[in-house]
Amino acid sequence: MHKLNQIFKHKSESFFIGIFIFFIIFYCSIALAKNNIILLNTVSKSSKLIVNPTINFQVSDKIKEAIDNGIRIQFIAKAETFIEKNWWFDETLESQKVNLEVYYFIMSKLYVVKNRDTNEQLSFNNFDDLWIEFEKLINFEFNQADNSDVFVKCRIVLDKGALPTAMQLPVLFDDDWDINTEWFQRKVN
Amino acid sequence: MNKLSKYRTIYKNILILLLIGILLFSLYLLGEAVKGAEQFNRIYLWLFGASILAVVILSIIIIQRLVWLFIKRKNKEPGIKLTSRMVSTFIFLSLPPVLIVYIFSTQFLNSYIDSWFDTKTDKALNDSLKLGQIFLEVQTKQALAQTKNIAQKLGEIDEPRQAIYLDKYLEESTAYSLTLISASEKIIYQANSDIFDLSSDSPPLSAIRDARSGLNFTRIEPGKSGNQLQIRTLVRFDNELKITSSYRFLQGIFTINPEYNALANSIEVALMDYNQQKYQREQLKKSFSIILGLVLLLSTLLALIRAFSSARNLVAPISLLSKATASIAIGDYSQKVPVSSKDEIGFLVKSFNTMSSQIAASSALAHRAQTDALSQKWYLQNVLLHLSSGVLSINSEQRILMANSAAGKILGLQDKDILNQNIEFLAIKNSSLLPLVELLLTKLEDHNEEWHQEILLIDNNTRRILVVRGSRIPDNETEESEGGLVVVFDDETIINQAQRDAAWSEVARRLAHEVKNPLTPIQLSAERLQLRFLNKLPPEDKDVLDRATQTIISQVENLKTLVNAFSDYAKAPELKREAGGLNQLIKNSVDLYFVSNAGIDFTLDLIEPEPIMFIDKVRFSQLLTNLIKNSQESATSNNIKITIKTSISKSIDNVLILRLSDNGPGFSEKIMEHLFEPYETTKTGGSGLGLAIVKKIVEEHGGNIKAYNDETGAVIEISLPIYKR
Repeated sequence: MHKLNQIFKHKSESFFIGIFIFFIIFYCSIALAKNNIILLNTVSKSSKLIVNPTINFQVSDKIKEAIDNGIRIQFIAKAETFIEKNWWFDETLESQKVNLEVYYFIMSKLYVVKNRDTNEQLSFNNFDDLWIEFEKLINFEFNQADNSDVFVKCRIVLDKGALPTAMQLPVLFDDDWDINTEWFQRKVN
Repeated sequence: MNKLSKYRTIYKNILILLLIGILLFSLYLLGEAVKGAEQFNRIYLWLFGASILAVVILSIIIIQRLVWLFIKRKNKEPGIKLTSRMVSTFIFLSLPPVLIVYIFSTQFLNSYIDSWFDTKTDKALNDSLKLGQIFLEVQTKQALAQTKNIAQKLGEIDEPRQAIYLDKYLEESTAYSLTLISASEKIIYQANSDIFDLSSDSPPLSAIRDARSGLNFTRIEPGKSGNQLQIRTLVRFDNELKITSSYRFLQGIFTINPEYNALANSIEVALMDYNQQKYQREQLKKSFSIILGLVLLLSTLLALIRAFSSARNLVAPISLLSKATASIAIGDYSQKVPVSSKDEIGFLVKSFNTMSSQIAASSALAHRAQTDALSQKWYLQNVLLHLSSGVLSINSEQRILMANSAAGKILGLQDKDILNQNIEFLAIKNSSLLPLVELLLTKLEDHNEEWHQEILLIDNNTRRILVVRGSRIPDNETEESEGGLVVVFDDETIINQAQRDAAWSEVARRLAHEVKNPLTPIQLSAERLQLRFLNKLPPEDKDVLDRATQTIISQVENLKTLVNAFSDYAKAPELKREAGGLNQLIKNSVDLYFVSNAGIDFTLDLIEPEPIMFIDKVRFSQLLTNLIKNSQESATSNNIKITIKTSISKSIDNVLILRLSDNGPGFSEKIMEHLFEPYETTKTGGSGLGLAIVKKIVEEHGGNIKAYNDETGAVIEISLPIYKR
């Protein structure tokens, strides 16, 4: 603030700038992702590495309302194996995606989550149950790497481009629709 | 317009049209995307971003144009007011219709979207859903009954054989698959109608939970393909053959008749679509409004840019015309405005170019005429400058319009000083010019075409004769006023003097010749008379004769002296000029007089170092002697003071001034006019040739002489050229 005082000669100016910076920091803090991956389970099976995330997923009432009204919501679960590099970009070894879709089946009042790649699906009477078992459809299978410094990371993002067009713009700036997780990473071994 | 700029304009226009085309196409895609076209769904945000970017770019361009307009207005550039007026007119003309279109279109769109949803459709869809659900419920109950029935049968069979009977019971039922699940939720066996379908289908956790607690689980759910509906049932059954409590689960998957399935799917899809549209109603309205707004905004911005461009194109030739006019105003006729169009503006530019060419030609002619006039004027001025006669041009308002340098010299004034002055100014500056002024005033009043008159100007002790010739200028030949005079005058004083000198020389020559010849016989006769009869006559007569003959002899001597003087005046000997100083000559002459005529007080003020003169020393000694003698003879008292001074002239280069002054009575007014003419003397017994000879010697040496009186007495001032080696 002292430096700001030097830059902006008037105290009132520096005061307002201070308030502005505070609000930016505050906004960034509250804008942090509400959902996150809390664990990445890795299982080695023959020459494969099976990765399955454990997700703490919470969705807003707005999203439930949209799903109840027939909006199909798509998620993309991304996972990568990589080797960390100092002072440079990490070296990606393998990258995989799982496309998921959540929708409401009105005829029997079920919430369905479906793996769009395998057509595997789970149906739930309760909306909250869906998010508990949501992760069951997310399984990544990587090749085992020789390197012992291999990391695996995963995140889940809402595919906003798959939403109906009319919704895409409002959703872009709506916090209730900001349900992406941050990258979660761990060392494989 | 040259080819390069033409191509550049075409290229620019094509680029703008291409941009507009792309923009319109992207807006079309945007509209399609909002309508639900899946192929554009994914690029919707990009299209929207591109449109926003286009709006921003166009806005920046327009801001840049506005700033340009503001700066040009501030600099007051030609044509900029017209440009800004055209642009503002366009804005005021285009904005209201755009706003009206926007408002009405939005309203229309909103009511159109609202019209998609009504209570009847709502009710019909919900009813059909209910009907479908009732039908499926019946199906579900049937499936559950079958599952329970099979489970009961299985309960009566010992556990290891249950799997064997499962296929049989599957064939007896309408189920697609039957799955035997242990209490520990492990699939023991699954019988599928499709023998190639080897996949196992685990029940959901909630189903196991319900079944474990004794509740029968049943539900309709979408099949793996998505379109196929299936009924899932899960029941718990106890093994009746076992004593210990042991139970298992039986899961049944029942497919629905494809015809019913299609109907149910149709209801599902229609209802979900309807709900989806209903849910997005407000968002759709907003999206359409935004897109419409974007379209109109882009159209307006593009139109504004076009308005700027059109205004500039229209004003450009006017601006060029304005600049060219300004150039012509300052005399640059080479400006040509390029003809860029074939419309009225082009015609105007063509006419302007023709006009400027004609002005250029006329100007060249005028310039040539002016140059001719100037050269004529210079020539005339040159002629006038080198004219020895004074020339004055006077208008009818008595103002001097023109005077040559000779006029100034003759009048004793600077010719520049008298220009544009009233002629009375001449008399004010030099009172001796009053007769000339009076003459000119008189002649201005007269209507004589040509006249000729001689006038006498008296300035202190100098008298000058001017011969003045005048001519009336016709009225239409003067620019400033009507009529006037051209006056040419010459100073005839010198000519007059020369004529008189020549006459006197002739007189002197004849006199010397006629008188000198008989003088010697007269003298000799008088001496013979005296010699022969002086001693023979009685004393009283002797005295008479002696006095008479002595008188004759002395008078003859006098006459001889006089005749010799006349002879000298009439026929001066040839000059023998040589370089030398004047100071020694002056000193010698003074010494000579000082010795022979004691009592004269000489004061010498001679310049040192003395300038070298080119003079005939004998003649100059005669000159000095004559001057000193003249001063001495004119003295009225015994205390004679003569001052001789030499100095360098300050007004004329290379001229020595010899000034001789005395303390005598000075020159009388009467004699002043003819002072240097022979026979002008105030002295008794003087020949009157002294100053005439002095003047002649001075003139022979190329000098001037003037005489005047100062507060002490007479002054003779001689100007002589200094010798240039």
